[in-house]
Amino acid sequence: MIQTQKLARGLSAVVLATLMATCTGSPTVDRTDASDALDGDPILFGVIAPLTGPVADAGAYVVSGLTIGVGKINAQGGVCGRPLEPIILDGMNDPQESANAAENLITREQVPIIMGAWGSSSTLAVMPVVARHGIPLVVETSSSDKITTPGTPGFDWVHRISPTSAMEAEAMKPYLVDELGMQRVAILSVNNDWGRGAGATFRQAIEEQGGQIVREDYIDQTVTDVLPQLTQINGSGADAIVMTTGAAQIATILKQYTELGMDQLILTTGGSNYPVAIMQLASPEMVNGTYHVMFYVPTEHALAGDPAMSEWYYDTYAENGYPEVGLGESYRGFDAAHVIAQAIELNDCSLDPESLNQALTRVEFAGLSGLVRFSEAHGHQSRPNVYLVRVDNGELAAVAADPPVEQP
Amino acid sequence: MAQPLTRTSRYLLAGLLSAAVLLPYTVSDQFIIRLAIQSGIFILLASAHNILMKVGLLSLGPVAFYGLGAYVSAILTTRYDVPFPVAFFAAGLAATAAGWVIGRLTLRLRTAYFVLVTLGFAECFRLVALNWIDMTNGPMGITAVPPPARWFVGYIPYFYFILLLVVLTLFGLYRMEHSTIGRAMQAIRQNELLAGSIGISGFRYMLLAALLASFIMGLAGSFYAHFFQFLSPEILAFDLTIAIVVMVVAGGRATLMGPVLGAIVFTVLPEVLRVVQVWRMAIFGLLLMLMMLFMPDGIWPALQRLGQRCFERVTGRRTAAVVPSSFGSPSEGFAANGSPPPVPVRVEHEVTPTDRSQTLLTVERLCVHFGGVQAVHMVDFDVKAGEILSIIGPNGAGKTTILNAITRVGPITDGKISHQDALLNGLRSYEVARCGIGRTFQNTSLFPDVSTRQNLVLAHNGLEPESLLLNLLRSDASVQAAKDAEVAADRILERTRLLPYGASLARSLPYGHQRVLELGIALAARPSLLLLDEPAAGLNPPEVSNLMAMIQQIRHEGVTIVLVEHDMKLVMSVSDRIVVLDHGRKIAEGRPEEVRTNQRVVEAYLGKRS
Amino acid sequence: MVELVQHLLNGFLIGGIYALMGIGLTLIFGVMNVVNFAHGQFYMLGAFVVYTVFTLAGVPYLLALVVAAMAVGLLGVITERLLLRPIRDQPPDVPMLATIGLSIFLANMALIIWDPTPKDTGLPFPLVGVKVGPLTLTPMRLFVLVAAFVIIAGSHLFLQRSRMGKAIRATFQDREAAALMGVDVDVVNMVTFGWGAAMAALAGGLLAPIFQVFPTMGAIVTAKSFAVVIVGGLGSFPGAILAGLLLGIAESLGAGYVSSGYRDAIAFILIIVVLVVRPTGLLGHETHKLA
Repeated sequence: MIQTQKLARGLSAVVLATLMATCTGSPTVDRTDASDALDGDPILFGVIAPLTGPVADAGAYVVSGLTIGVGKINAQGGVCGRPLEPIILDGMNDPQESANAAENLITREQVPIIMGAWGSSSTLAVMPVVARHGIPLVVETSSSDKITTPGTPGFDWVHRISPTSAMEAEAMKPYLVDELGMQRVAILSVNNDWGRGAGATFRQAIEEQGGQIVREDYIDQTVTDVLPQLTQINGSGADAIVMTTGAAQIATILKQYTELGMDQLILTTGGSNYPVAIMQLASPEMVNGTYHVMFYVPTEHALAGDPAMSEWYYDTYAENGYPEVGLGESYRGFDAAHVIAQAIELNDCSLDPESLNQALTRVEFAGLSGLVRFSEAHGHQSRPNVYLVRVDNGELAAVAADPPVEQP
Repeated sequence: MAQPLTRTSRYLLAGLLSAAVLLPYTVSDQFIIRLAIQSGIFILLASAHNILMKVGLLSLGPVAFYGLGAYVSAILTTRYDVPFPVAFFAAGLAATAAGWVIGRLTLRLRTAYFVLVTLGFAECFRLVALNWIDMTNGPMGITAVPPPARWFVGYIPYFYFILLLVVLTLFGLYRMEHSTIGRAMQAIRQNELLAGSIGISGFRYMLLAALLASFIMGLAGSFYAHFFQFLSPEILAFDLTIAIVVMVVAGGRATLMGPVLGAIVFTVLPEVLRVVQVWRMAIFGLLLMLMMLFMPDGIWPALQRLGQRCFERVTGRRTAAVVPSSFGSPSEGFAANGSPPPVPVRVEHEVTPTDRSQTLLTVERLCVHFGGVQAVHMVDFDVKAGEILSIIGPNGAGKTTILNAITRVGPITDGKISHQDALLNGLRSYEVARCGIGRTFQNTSLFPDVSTRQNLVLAHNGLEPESLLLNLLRSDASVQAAKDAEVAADRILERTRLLPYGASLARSLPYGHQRVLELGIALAARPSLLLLDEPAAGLNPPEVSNLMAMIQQIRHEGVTIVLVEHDMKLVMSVSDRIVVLDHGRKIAEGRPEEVRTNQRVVEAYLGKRS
Repeated sequence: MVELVQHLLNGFLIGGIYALMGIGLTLIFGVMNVVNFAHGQFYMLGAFVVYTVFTLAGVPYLLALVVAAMAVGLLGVITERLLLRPIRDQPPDVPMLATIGLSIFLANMALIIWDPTPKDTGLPFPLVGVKVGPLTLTPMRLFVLVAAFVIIAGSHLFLQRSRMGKAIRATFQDREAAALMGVDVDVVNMVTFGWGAAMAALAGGLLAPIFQVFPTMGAIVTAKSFAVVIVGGLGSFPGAILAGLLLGIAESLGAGYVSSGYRDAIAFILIIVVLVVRPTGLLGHETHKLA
């Protein structure tokens, strides 16, 4: 008994000491190694990504692309002769956590610009914070229309690379009904702003083309059993299913689609639907013949804004040992790092947030997802390429692109 | 527990408050101010959640009320242009209404069942927020929630707003804790059954706790929505519930300062842990486990013990077993060692003349059946004012079942029980107690974790004014009631010869003293009819004769007594009349000498023994 | 009509797993009076062990299941010994919060060890639908259902026939009486917690090939296991089986005909309705009512 008490006291002391040490220690945050070749203080920028929680995988992919991007920039001489250095904080894709991370980045780390915060809810919660401090925010993943709608708190400080669901649906509109023959369509998407937003815009696009939505299901991100929904879809006479969710959930749905022996046309959207990832998580046969809306097709270098860079990126990603399933999403971090670097250079190397925000409007970067250029007319929004990809025998083939790409 | 704040505590409080008020001027770091505001929100949430802990309930549904408040406020201001002050109070009231409905439905449940049902409600609220798109905008969330007023720019106005809310809440909770309501809640947490037997309604105070908690949480939710200016269903996430519960339990449940400390520590800790990146949540989980292992009652009580140990080491004095207090160092007195066993109390009062012809309690054709078992069947008897009536019978005869039926702790299948013309059948146990019917229990039943004296103070509770407003405003009546309770406690301590043990924890008393204390608790509620359930069980002969004297003394003071007892010597010497039960049926009734020679009684006992 | 029958079949298939989870939890709840919030994490770990042993190391699937049960069962035993036994006499919220801490810890350790990317284990049995009349059934699902009931039957035999099983049942009925009769309650607790954890691990290992394996897969399963325990009645094996199947079918019908978004609400609504209307559950005994 006495021994237990001693043990307890000892352990408590250790825990307390550790806590004290962490409290008083300087808040050094995991910083990717800046190139040693560069002199001068690093230029810091903030990154908010989900490193833990249910979408930690997606956060990790974005960060891996970002790391490659920053490494490339620094290897080529950095920004204004100084190394670029991201400070990455975990937002858990939770609005409150992400807002706190933003506050921490701005007031503690004094970053002049932030990239983040993955999900739309998190980004919308971060926006009032960046507006309060006047710090520009580069959005790499979120798709909610509201982010780039004037009147939303923080709108003036936001520039978005990722497309809205509406842009996706708009680009695909000519193909859905006429080319793919989607007459009676079921929507089966994740129940968050992303899936709901895509569902609404695709419904509109399909209905405008004379198609019909026969069923709409929104499932929680953690749901693994979709047999009930698929059974209903099968019985509803649908000839196509549109899915907006992550690759893992798409793979789960495809497995159960195969179980039920269904034969509806499959179209996935949303940008986290990298077919190679789906094939790895399901099987290549199950993915055969499905269609996917994408913004970056890793194997089709000719489609990227800069084919040489696309090829280089594809190789480097593999060399660094990052998981192949993340390749299709990692480009977001890569492009965003370059956009931030270019904005700083366009701002004559000044880190003044206000003018940096202005400089973002002048950025033109031929990235992995096409030409990144923020249109003031469309709410500080870039318009990436949108491709319709079909999977045949494990290979991705672009069947349509918007804007149309000239084949070299 | 109604100790006034010590001088040190007062200075400490004043210092803390002025430090808080001056914080925005001394700290230029906006991040710290923001964390302070968030700590404020969590202090409100944890303190509110802690009110339920005060009545011994662990809920896993606090976010339901927090989220409801946030949504009501955000929807009213964004969609219907309702001014903020109205929306703010509407949020509080909506949460209170939800608290009332859910409380009515679930407060009958205890422990794991209550935990799971509250978790169920919180998750249902979250799913409604997520899926009722037309109202809540679903997962897309509500953007552009306006600030409370135009001049809420930057963090400083929010900081003072939340500081005001926190100070008001804590002051109210402090007042409540040191009032009749606080004492009643303490009694319920310690022993709900016993609290009922001295006139404290467990359900009423639990509902009150639920209403207060949900009101405060609703206000906190409204503040959150207008501070973050964006609201999505994540506010209802289970993780947030965990955070709140951890703050309360790790800080120190059922104390005033524990949740405050817990809220601050657990708002700051995750931010500090950011340095360890992906290890953050793993370390948080590990810390939580370690804390449960080594500080199961929380940081605040651990700090208090530490403070006390330092005090002892400095002064070289040994203090009594720690009685947890909510603020300041324990100020209970010292336990004396080796005090004598209780001796018969002397006559202090005039013997109240009682009219033995008057019937106090009537039991008619009482049946209590459990499934197919007839524990009590068709039993009739009455109790005359001023007498000592004993109920005897072999084990399993249904004696305790009858006491439980009379005090409405147990069920009545059929029959009538009336007390002075009033039917008891439809009453709850605390209402029976308020008719002046007190009781003790077969198994020792005390308020184990408070001092002996506090046991008696709590026992007075049923005689005090219950109104929330009177107690918060410290009306004359409530102040007087507190004084009365103290006086009554001292008097009973003296009468029962427990005075030397006044400061000891009740659970640490020797067994014989515990049984005497039980009697004292029953007496403190000033019953006119006292039901004693095997008071002599486990006592040694001197203690029994002592008990005998006390019982007679109590009767001399005008209290009618029903005694359930196995000790025949005790029964035969004190009883006026005896009712004998066997297998749930009455087999004899009469004066001791009549019963002793009754053939059926002899058979029942001998038959049982052979 | 065909859809309705298919829904019932789907619900039945998933319900077997719910029953398996629920039985493990009801044992722990009944014997130790601990609300185990880490139950879903044992499910998650079972899936990860199967992924590691079966997919990465190439060990046969059935053997991988055994390894998962033993490894996670051992973790359960260690948890009882180091985490739960020292705080057994504390108020019930202390062990409960300790299991919440454990749950957070395990989920995030899995995230660090196996990284957050979802894993596919590959298929030990074909997952291609076989038409049975108008209905579709796959060998893999059938195997899961059969395995679930074999494990449940095995547990039942263990409790009824073995010495340890009898000790567990005695402790469940009355802890103090069991201790007086010479039952070593410490050992009973360790075995019970380990057994419950192993059952959860088997559930995770069985479902891993059908779904995916990822660190946060356990959270929602915990809630559903609670629903099974509450609806079935504390400590009732038949109750847990019935409640598991009921929950599976209710969810299938709810998701099919009512709303996908509210699918997860069904478990919680069942908890609320049962506790408010009949706190002993469908097949629970009056004597185990704690309220």
